[in-house]
Amino acid sequence: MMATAQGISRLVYRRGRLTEKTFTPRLGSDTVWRPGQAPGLSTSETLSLRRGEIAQVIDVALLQPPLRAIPDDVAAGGTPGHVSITPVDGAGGVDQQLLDEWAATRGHSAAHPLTGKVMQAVVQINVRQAP
Amino acid sequence: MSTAPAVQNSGLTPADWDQVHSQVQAALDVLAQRVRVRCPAAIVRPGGRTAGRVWFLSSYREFNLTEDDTEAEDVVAAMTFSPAADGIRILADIGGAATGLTDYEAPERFVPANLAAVLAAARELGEELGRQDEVVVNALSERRPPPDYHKERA
Repeated sequence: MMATAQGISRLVYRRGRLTEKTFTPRLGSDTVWRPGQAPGLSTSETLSLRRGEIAQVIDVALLQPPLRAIPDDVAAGGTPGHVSITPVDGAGGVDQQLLDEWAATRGHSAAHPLTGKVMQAVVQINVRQAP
Repeated sequence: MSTAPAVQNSGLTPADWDQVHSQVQAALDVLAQRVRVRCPAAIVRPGGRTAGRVWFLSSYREFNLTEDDTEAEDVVAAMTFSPAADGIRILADIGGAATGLTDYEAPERFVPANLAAVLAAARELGEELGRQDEVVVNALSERRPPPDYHKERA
């Protein structure tokens, strides 16, 4: 399995279809800090799909700044395998204002540029669980 | 060394893809009308499209019973065009926007990378999608909640 310098899988999974909403965080649920978990677009290092479900595969090494993939800190209460894709500032911290701006565009006709950046990092589409 | 798939040339121009998108949306208009007849409360969101490194176009329409998709995910009818070995692969399907659950899927098509072939296949698949109003309404009635990534693995 390929990994990044941060030690997380280079490939992460996002359930759902190829819509703009799939690659845009939700205002509220995805923009708040949780113990051991940075806010942002949720993805998972492992693929756990039920029969008939599909997911999209994102190569986090292809994410362009200011986006970064931040794995949960399990020891601090995060979820194992959960990775947040979120904008960061110059110091490497979550850019909360930009994240909020990004999430506020979810469902609107003009997609945020960060949504486009995530889609450009998708390397495999509509994957399914192996039978 | 990068292992990222190269952005592939589809053989179609951006204007060609606009034409394909318009044709798919026309088919989804028919589906939307049929869904509204069967379920007047259905909300049909404006048509959307995406493209990326490994797909040329995904043209879609989202349905729900509420404006908000927090409690129940949208149901998406879509046609997606992606690179294949000798042309273009076309997938027409209906399913959950966030769970990824598939409610309907037409057999995949593989066509040469030229506009006429893509439009012809898209027309046929569009007619198939346009007849799936019952699938959409049934999926809407399930009111499937989106996955909670914060509590469980994706």
